[in-house]
Amino acid sequence: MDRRLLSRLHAILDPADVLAGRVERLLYDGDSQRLARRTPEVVLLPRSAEQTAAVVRLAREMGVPLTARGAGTGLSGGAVPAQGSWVVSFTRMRRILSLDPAARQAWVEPGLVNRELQEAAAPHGLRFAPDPSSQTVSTLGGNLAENAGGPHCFRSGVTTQHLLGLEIVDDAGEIHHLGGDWPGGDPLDAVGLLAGSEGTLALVTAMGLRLVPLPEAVATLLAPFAGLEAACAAVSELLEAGLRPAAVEILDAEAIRAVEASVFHAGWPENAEAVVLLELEGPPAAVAAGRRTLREHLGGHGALRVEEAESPETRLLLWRGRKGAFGALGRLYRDISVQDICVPISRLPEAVRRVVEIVRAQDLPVANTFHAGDGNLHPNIGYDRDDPDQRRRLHLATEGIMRLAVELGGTLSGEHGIGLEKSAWLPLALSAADRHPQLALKAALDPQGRFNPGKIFPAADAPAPGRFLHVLEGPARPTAEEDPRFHRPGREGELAELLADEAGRGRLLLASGARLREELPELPGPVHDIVSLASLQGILEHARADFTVTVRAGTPWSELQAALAEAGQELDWEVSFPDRRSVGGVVASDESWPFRAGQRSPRDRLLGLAGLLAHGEAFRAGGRVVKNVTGYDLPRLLAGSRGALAVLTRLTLRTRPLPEVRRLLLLAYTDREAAQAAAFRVYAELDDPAGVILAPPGLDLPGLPRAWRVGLRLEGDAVTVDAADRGARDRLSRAGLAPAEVAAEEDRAGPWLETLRDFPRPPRPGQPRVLRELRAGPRRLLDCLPYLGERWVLDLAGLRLRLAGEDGDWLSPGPLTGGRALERCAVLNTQGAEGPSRFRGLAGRPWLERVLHAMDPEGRLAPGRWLLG
Amino acid sequence: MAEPRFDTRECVVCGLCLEVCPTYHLRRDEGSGPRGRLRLMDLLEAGDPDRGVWDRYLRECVGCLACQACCPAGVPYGSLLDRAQVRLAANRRAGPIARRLEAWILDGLLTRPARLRRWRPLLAVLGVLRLLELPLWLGLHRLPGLQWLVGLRWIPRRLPRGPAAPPPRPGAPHLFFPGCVSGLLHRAEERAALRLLDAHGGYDLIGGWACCGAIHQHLGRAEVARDLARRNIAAFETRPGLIVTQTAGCGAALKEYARWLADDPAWAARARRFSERVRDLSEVLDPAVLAAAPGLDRPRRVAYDDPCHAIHAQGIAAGPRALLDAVAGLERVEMDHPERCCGAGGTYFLRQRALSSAMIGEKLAELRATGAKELLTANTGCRLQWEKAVREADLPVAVRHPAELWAEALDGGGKRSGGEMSG
Ligand SMILES: Cc1cc2nc3c(=O)[nH]c(=O)nc-3n(C[C@H](O)[C@H](O)[C@H](O)COP(=O)(O)OP(=O)(O)OC[C@H]3O[C@@H](n4cnc5c(N)ncnc54)[C@H](O)[C@@H]3O)c2cc1C
Ligand code: SF4
Ligand code: SF4
Repeated sequence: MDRRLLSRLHAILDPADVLAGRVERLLYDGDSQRLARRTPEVVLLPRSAEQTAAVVRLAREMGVPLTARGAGTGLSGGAVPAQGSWVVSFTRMRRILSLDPAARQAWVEPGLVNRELQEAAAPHGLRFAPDPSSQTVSTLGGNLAENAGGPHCFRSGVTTQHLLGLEIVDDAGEIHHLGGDWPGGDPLDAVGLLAGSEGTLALVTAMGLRLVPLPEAVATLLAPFAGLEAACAAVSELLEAGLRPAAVEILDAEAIRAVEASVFHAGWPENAEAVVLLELEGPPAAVAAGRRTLREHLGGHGALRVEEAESPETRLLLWRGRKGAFGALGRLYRDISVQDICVPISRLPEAVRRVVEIVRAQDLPVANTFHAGDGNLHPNIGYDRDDPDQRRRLHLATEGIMRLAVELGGTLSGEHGIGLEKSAWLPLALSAADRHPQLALKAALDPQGRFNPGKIFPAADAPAPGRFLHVLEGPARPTAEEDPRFHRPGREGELAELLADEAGRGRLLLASGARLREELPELPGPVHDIVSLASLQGILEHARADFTVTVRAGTPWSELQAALAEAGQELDWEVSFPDRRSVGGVVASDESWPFRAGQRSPRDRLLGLAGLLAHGEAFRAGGRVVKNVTGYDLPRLLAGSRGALAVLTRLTLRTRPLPEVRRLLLLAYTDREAAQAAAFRVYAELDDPAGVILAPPGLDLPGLPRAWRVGLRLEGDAVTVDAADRGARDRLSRAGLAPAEVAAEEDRAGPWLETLRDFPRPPRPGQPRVLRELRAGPRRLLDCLPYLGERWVLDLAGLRLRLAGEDGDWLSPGPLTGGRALERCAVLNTQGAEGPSRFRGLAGRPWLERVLHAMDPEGRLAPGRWLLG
Repeated sequence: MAEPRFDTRECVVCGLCLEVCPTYHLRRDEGSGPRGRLRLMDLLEAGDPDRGVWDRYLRECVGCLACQACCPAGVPYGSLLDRAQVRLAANRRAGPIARRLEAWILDGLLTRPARLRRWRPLLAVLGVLRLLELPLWLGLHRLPGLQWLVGLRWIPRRLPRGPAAPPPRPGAPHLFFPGCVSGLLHRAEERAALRLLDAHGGYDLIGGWACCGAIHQHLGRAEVARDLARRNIAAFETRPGLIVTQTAGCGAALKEYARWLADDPAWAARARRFSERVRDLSEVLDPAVLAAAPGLDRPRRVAYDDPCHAIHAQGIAAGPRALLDAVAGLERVEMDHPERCCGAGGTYFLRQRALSSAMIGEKLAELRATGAKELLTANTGCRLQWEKAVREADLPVAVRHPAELWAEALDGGGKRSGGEMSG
């Protein structure tokens, strides 16, 4: 590297953090996927966001690409430098910036190792749920960039579901803050877009993460099977029967042999063809009951026997063995290539059988260790990278597996990413039309292709500057007097034509699920045309065994829920006025109220979609599987985008079995302090309640005396719900926070639930209701309460507060209004759940604007939804 | 299990070894971790010209073997490192005086432990007179080739001998292997070990033994190490019984003789038989014996720190803890990372002072957090490292070998039989 450049780097970074020597650089030529390697020009190890930003600015000036890197344990070649790249290694940015146990949040630098966070959280009874097998070494930045999963993600979701906010450095070397201390902090989930983006959109320099309580009790079961397929079938059926352990893993005989021969031997049954490893978590009574059910189920489905880890040590050993399996296979194979396809759960047995056939047909050995509960396969293929013929056969086998995934309705990668390894196969999963919006995003956010070039997309897709940026004049804005025309296309084709046509005439549209003109909510801004999707309705497929449903966007929400209920399933969140909502509308506004706990929201349950871009171009995104790192996570971005990025036409959502019991406990308190303390305690300590809310006496719950109310929603089988119920009450009593009185409601839609759910009702029928939503971290929300009067409901688990009141109230300062609360609490985002939205004060705004602009360059769709200058 | 294959190619670069590596933990760059070092060894083997870098990174390896112990693929890191050390030693540039001195110490002084012990009284007197560091005050360690004199800082200020040990019993089931430096500096620990063996069927001593050769092996003087191994094998072959040492470093080396001499047809089988007879002290002691003993006269809070050569090289971690837990009146607390290297590493503390002191610095903080009043470790180098750190930090913590505590428990004693107390 030339002297002058080196001295400029030395001016930015400590010389010890610049590795420019040939040998030092060589060590950064790849990750744990060994096929592709390239030595970077220099390796930079920044220690702060500012240094990172300065590096990006210099790279921009010099025109060199940058490849971010964590621990280099990626399995898709994501950290392999491109030609001429500098590597930015985050391993020296590893501080825990803050850890707030009561708020269950941590802010960390990206180089922090997953396990280091676990170690810091555990003394507070908390953990970070994503637990990739590489967690002892992989960095949280790497976990984020690959949207890493892990065994326990079956219960708790993958990395993206535990992100609150990010600090990023964009392609211009500017630092932005996205999200906040509450999930889905920005109206547009740009944080979710970055999860799984494989370092191709920005460099991440800090991350806000959600922590969850450690389980009260754990049980680990091992069930050996005589055949791999039989084990898979037992798992498929177990899930179909509605059983929900915390983790469901499978190891086959070859993997077990390798583990048992390694330092991780733990007494795995060596004579079985496959072993199912299951873990149960929850209150002790629930775990005990679940253990019985699981034993019965497994026994009835071909398990040779069911063993149980007797001590925490054995349990730890088993998990270490499971997590060391990849390395252990290094004893059997010279090199290992591990694939990562994800298939609908009902196809698991077939997928595993055929994967093994495909690999064997190439005369290569294969061992399987995988996240069975998620349908996420990990065939580990043995080969010798020094043997060109074996490399060729590996390539053929991999391609076969990719094709199989697509054929079975699955996806190319569940958690390792496409990286360099699979980029050539991306078109199998995403057509040119599907890639179009993705490439548009890439082009808008990283126009010069600075970040991690060569990853995810096939080489031919490399963004030619300007290719995706329409430099059109903005469409004519209608005047206020012009009454918009109302359209209600009967077919998707008609809708596409309309959009294409409108494009020609440069008019604006608003997609809506409303059936009639009168049902429309207040318009966010002037539009020419209003398109209702109400005629595009119907359930296209309910794959009961896979727990997915695909519907047209205009399908009424209640109809969908009713149809699912008939089949014993449901979408597990509530929405206000469900009879008046379309599924598309719910998803587009990311509505889940009043219990947005855990993953009970459209953003977390939307697996795939089909939609139309502003000019009518059709595209698809996501799929029908629960884990998917195959291109950018458009479903997450589009859920909650309020029709501003694209028109959603079909949605695939994750369903779940109807819970046996659904209980709403309403705990009464006479004063706010006690109620607040009780709510906070339940929030901080209960392991995954279905909802925690707080309401003031001003809320009239039919038949109940006025009081401060802490609402606790519990769902599941009777034993679990009872145990959680008792557990919560015990905890509160022990803390001196016993409620004055407890009311319980068991219906899905009893009168109390309805009151909370539909809060606030419109003042008079036919009038639009006015509400505001405050979103903030738990502390800030609670700080607001004294200033809010008595017309609000706080969803503590979802970290939002709905406030009723006139628009004027809201903005004018005064002792009891939200405006004052805003000032007081410095809550940034005051987006309305309905009615005009405001989007201001967000630090990441310029970056979000680029997202909007990428998808809809002329601001044609849902104008005014986002007031972006 | 098959014989370990001797090839860096066994590494599948999974990276699972990164965080257990004390130098990676501190530095967080590839060259400072095992995965990178394995690649560097390839370069070394291939005669890569860019010496400066790989040389530095490889020398920074403590040889703690944490990576080998956690490697699921079974990469024989220790063997590979030994091989690399031979090449590094050959590549080393050092002045003639330094070479001579080094040879005198390593190949002369250290190979004759019985003679080494004669220095003890002198050191003891110097320690009491606080004159041990005289050469440093004179600045001698700044002369070329004499940097190792800073090692004087690691010599304990007091060299207690502890209560006398019961006499050997001919024909006893245990043959004691005396460590050279431990015999010189930590006599109390050795005597305690003998007291314990006496309570477990007795011990015997034999003549003709030599230094175990660990230091030589790790400094790339493999031939000297093999010679020492042959001497020890020959000496101990004359008598049946388990060969017991209380020093983890020696024990690990003795257990490795089979490997060191695997390609010497005349000695391979003998070495294997020898290594099979080797036991760490904690492996022959019985918790039941300690449990039945009177125990300590007053409660004590202790922390046990795993020597790398016990936990990683020999897989010994649970045993000593179980023995400690058997002692009545003892409260055992754990540091956050007892398995992490303290930075002693044979001669590492002299060769890589900055890294070594960063390592012990982190451990010291963990020790403080436990509130333990005694720090127990079962290896000479580690003990010296801890003693110095505790002394310099002025911590009211005694550093001892667990054997001393076990022996006290046998005799129901609380009287200090050794260890260094600061202040
Ligand atoms: C033995 C083993 C087991 C594994 N088990 C699992 C598993 O169970 N589940 C799973 O999901 N994965 C697993 N993996 C894969 C891998 O560990 C994960 O993908 C992990 O998240 C990568 O983290 P890393 O720190 O090593 O990142 P790297 O490999 O260094 O980088 C991965 C990607 O992240 C990008 N990146 C890193 N840091 C940043 C940043 N700060 N900003 C922007 N981009 C960044 C890189 O550019 C690259 O594209 C396993 C790997 C191994 C070797
Ligand atoms: S754990 Fe073993 S296989 Fe994995 S990188 Fe380290 S040495 Fe290589
Ligand atoms: S022996 Fe110890 S210091 Fe050396 S590479 Fe292995 S873990 Fe790191």
